[in-house]
Amino acid sequence: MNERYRQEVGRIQASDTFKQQLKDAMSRQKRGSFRFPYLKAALCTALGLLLLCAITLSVPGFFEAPLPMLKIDRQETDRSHNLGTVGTLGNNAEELAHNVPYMPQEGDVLPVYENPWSEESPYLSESDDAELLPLLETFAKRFLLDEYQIAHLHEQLSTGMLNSNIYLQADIGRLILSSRDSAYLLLSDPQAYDLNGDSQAEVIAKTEQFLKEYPLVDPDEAYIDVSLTAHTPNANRWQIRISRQQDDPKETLIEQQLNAFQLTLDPQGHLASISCIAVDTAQPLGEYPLKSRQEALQELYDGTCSPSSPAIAKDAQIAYTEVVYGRYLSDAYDMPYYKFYVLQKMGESSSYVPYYVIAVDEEWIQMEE
Amino acid sequence: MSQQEIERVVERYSDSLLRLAMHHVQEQAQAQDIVQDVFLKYMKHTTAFTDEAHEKAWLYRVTINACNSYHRHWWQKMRSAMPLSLPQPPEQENSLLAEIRTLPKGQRNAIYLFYYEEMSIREIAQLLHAKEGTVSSWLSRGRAALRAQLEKGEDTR
Repeated sequence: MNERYRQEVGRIQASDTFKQQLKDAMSRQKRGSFRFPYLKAALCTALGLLLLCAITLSVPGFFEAPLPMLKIDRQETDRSHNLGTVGTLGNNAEELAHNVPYMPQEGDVLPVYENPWSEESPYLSESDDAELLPLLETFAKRFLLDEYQIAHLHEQLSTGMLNSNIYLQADIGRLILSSRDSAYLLLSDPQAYDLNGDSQAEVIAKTEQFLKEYPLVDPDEAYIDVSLTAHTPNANRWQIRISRQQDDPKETLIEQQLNAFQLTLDPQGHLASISCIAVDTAQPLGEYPLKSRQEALQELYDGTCSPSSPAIAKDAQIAYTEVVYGRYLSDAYDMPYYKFYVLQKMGESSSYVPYYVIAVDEEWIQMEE
Repeated sequence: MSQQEIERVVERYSDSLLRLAMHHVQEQAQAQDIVQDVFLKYMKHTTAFTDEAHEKAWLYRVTINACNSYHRHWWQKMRSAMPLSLPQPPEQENSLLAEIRTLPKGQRNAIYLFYYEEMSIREIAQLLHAKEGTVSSWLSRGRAALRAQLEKGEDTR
């Protein structure tokens, strides 16, 4: 079979004519010429365009719209993150590297998804049980909860909270919605699972063991990523992401970012809660070209990033760059961002701070005042 | 970029990129479109390559991305959605390549790079941004699927 394959593929060769066409096209591009050297080709193209226009006009909906512009509200772009994290990321650059499934290359594209609930109030406690219960029950399946009771956090006081007032109580813990496409399970017994470790490898090994007991994702298909969430004088605190490995690394990245479980450990390394994000990725807005890391760096220095302050000096040390999905500069889209870890002064010491820059090429971004 | 450099890159890579693209699209004209796009992107590439291996990896990577994007292109979708032309005659080539095109993308690329380009699993993993274990698994699953398809084909003949 191997020999037959090699023979078959070996028969595919670029003809001399095709090679010449390539060289001509490249030379034309080098000269920056926009002239059409062949009258016949120009006429054929014009005729083709006319035909296409005729078809487009005669069949409604035949023509698929080009990529829509992504509208970013400048008023909303200054947000702070990492609130509530005890400790900092520390200043050891080596601790920041982790198991990133895919790093886009120059000329690459990534999908962007519209958040269908961006116009809705984020305060879920104001919503009816009838709206939230089906969402909770969908998450209950993801968390493999068969038996649970429906309950409420506060029967009387039911407004002003981001979390859902309604929740599901199962033996393992309490399932609460944190948005319409994410929920978290607060474990009843915070001592039940010890996932502590001095290194990422140690935490991954314990997580693999945990998945055998609680198969949120089939252990044979699990993609486990352990990253530093805080560095304290006593120990490192880790964040564990579990998702389903895909054949294509790019799809693994999307799955890991938008369809995953995130395990949060307490300061002693015990599993405190498991959150689940479940963005509907069936219908992307489109595949958007990405800007280069260098272009993103320029925006970082210019302050077009989240958070927009403190400003970053040109000589600031950047330990690590990755591409993540999020809603950092706009709630309207789940879109890719460059995440830069920048070393910033913090009083007497210094620590790495994450900054997010939109990764989609600026050609597709429309900043609105 | 000098004319000499254009000659070098076309002579050196056009066959390989065309073969790689033919693992994703059926018609040679489509593969040629893709390869031409890749070379035009190469002309726009401003960062210097560290060595020939870097240049080769970049070209292969961009070709794979271009093949993925090609399938998402609007007129490609439109063409498959609306049968404007007469039905195509049954595929004549009856080839291994036609079977390979039915495999998932990762398996297709891994098979070409391993069996034709004779790259190591480590090199393929670096090129495709995958773990070595994943590449091994693609190869093994790809081989198994091909074997099953070929056996099935022989049974029905």
